[in-house]
Amino acid sequence: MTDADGWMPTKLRAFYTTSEKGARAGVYSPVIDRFLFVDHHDLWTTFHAAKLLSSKMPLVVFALSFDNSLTQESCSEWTIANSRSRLSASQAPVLKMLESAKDVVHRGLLENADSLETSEQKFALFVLRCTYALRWTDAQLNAIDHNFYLRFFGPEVAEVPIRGQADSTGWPKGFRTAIEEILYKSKDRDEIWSSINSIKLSLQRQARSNAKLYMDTFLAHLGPGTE
Amino acid sequence: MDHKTPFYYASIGPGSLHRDFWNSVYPKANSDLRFWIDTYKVFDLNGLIARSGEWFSPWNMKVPPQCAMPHVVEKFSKTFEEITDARAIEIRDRIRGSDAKIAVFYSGGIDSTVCLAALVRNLTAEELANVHVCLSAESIVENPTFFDRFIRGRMTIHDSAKTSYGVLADQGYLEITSDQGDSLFGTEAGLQLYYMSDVLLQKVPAARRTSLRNLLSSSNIEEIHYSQFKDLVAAYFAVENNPEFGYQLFERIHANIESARAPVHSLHDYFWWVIFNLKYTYCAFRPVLHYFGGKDRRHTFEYSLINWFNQSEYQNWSMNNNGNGMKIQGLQVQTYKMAARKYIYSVDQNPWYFRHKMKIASVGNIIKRSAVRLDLMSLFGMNTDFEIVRITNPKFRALVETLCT
Repeated sequence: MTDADGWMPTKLRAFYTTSEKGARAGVYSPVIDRFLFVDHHDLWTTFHAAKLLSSKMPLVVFALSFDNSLTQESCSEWTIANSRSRLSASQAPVLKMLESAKDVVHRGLLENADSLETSEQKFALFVLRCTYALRWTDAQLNAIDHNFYLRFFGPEVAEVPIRGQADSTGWPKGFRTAIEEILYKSKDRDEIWSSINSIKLSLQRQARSNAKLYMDTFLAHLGPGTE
Repeated sequence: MDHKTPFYYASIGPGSLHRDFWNSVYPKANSDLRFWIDTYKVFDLNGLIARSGEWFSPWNMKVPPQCAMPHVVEKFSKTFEEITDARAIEIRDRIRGSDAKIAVFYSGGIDSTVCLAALVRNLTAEELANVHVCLSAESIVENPTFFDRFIRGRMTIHDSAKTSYGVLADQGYLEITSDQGDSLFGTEAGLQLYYMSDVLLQKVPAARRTSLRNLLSSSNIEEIHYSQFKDLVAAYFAVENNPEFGYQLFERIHANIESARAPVHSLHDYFWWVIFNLKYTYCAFRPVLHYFGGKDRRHTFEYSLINWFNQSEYQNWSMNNNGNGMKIQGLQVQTYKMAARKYIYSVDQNPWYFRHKMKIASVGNIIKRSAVRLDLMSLFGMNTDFEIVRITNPKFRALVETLCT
């Protein structure tokens, strides 16, 4: 399975051309000492997805600034050359740079590699896909992200009861944070879909609403075949 | 203060004050003091005290009675699960029917999650509502699922960046700490060696490299005596400017194992013994040394603090469960503290935490931003009267001079 076949939402593939240099980011699990997945597109979306996955496992996002041929299939046979400091990893991901092919090492599959690790990769790629879809949705629809701007004004703003909005859905945390919370807290894909479908159902009962527009846009970006 | 002054804790600490002082002492230190200083470079701590067997320290170190090593019970058969449930019931019975306030210091790591999971498993919802949890933002991030399902909205929360063991003790809390968990399972120092092995093998005599590499990758590594890894361990213990130190430290630990007749066989057992015997007391005192901020250290240690894992049955479990997969299965991070992972899983059913939990050094972050002034930078030790000794103390400096040539 190449990257083009895999996880990237259909609608967004036209925008994101696969880099000629190969994978741009390798997301490494210090626990299994292998790359869990790679991303050929946007480093910052990858990093954001790693933050959402940190509730499940500590990860390190490596920016790969050298030519490579890593794929989702092959990356689980590779690790970083110097894994000395793995044991003091932080739960939240950090970004590091690997500058040369010598910084990664082919060690083969783990001796006890099993289908569980494949399913964990699939789950991680699903979260990555959702993260791309969410970023596009929020960027396209949200022109009133007050919270982004109000945080520059410190406590003096709080003295006057200025209440900002996260977006136009009217949801207290906004659409993006609400879905991210589901991704962060759910233990598997079934749980994520159960929560999203529950929201979707309640929105369908409403007349046309901004929240419904957000949800429809998000699901369109996410594309089919992920349930 | 003189060489007979008894200490419960004595160690080099972090920061420039310690570094500059001990760097100035090292060139004139006698061989014993020099050995002690070099030990800090290996373990980030040299406040090692032998609860059993021979050990050496330039200071008159004492083991408090609460930390004495119990006699080994032959054919000890209780499981980790049984002991943990019994511990929770013991604490439940202690507070039941009283107005005692209990606070669990929870980091999100495996040891403190065992404590809370045991209370969740053995206390009623009503009883749990009286349990206070002292945690930080780091704790939530380290195990958000457990926080969301079992703590938030069910127990009273305190921010550990704004309080400390001493502060809560002064308010009348009984405090549960899990500091001794690493002692039961074995220190991360062993795991660190395994993952550095490629680098370390380049430092051992060439003639030994192939055989050591084969030993490390052996599927029955638990059956290989630790002495066969001597060159590798010595390379791991090596310090600059003292080429013999690695072998000296290996031999001293070996002598302690022999004199204590300790149940140590494998390489992992060897590192487990270091923390179970030599570092045990330091772990027990950590709450009243590094994270105190209260009025009476002695009272806190002797009456307010419940060190969850400092209990004879846990220690007998530890001594009787080497090499059977309960502490570690193979040399992998994801199977470290297996018995504890299984216990937590029995409560939270979270496969991610079970498979992917790693040791996260979060206490340092909390200490840095703690509202409690901790004065760690000049801390040297604590005598048996629970009085703190600082490296700026002229009497202490005079004592150090007596150990210099």
